[in-house]
Amino acid sequence: MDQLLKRIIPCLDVDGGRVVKGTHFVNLRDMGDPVELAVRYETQGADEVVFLDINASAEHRPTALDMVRRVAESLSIPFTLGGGLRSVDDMYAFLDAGADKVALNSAALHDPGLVELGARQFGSQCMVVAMDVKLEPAGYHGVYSHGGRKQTRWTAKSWAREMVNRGAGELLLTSIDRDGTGCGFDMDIIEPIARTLPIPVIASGGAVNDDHFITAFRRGADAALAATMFHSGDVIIGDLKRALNRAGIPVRLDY
Amino acid sequence: MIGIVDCGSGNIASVRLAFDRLGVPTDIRTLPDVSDLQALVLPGQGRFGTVMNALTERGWDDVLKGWIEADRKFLGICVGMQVLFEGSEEDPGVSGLGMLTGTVKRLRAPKNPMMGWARVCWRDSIFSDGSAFFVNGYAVAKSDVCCATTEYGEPFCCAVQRGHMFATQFHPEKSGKWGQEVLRQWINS
Repeated sequence: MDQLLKRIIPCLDVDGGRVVKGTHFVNLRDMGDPVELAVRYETQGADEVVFLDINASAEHRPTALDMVRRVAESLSIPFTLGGGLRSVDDMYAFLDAGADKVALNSAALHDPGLVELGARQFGSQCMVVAMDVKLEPAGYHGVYSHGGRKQTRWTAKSWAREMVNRGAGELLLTSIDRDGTGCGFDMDIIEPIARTLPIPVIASGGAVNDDHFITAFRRGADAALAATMFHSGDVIIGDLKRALNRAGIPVRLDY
Repeated sequence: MIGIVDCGSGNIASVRLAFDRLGVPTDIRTLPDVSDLQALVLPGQGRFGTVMNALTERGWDDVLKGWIEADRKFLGICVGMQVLFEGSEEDPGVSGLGMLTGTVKRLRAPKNPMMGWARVCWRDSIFSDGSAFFVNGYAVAKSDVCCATTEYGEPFCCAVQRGHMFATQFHPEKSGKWGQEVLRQWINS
């Protein structure tokens, strides 16, 4: 096989050390302890877990670091921490606390050199670049920062290429248009990027069922991420993986 | 007591935590003091040359060679497996420990490094086949002491065993329940 097993990644939005549901800072609902939830997902067959600290600040830093330490003690699969990382020191703090990778979004857009510094110091394998994209009226996908609120000058394809050149090890590609819609991943932009770049691409935004994952993997995604569909219990990761397996997609079933 | 060699390449914590979960006491060793140890683990992340240079600087190279030659219990992980060989395409000027014949080569695959899960097939081993987590751009194609293979772009050797020397290209400490089982069986072997 010339490709790896396709990865299923549950995403936990955390705020003040708790998992919350509801994006864009509205209707936040407490969904429980991040460590307990992550362990449950590992048991159900998750291949990795992503934690996004949605309200990261210096004041909340000790809580976030404590969470990362507890996750590292309990999980035996890799996990990524994103949110509020602005410097090499920030990245070091979370990697040292036990995160396998860190994800940069707005900070990379503000200073693309940060990705390069991180890659040089810690290795590309722990540098994830999260990018939020949106279809523009002119027909191309643009990149947005600050949780999708601020348009940047980058197109999705040029930013993805730039990040690869700067040493990113993986892209987490979220469609703002699809997020929360249940319409499936935006493969019109994920597919060309995943098929042309030499690093793995995680599809994100819009999935609510097995078919969305099957389509994403058939169209080149290396991994696919979702939050609500797993948190709500509508889809159990193990069932999703068995459905993928039946559809001929190579997944890890011995968890 | 199991000693974990700290060669400054990071990722020591996840190896220690994996043994903690198994209830096995470990001690992280920066300097090559091994007198009270029953087994040594050499984790390795990063470049071949960086890991090798750090081992040499700290005096670990000769201690590791002596340990393995005496057939004492050893586990190498990722670059910790690669440095057992003679050298690597990643840093052609740097010699490995040379405990095994062969050179580490860059994987020919569309996406490099290899980063994710792949199936591991053992040959005549106490371990059972399963999926392992890999993070590496380089690997050995073959070894005369190869005990497991996998495939990424091309088939390669992802574990070696000779006597009490055991090493894996994948990360058992990040390979879920299956990886924990590999570690447990290694301890009990």
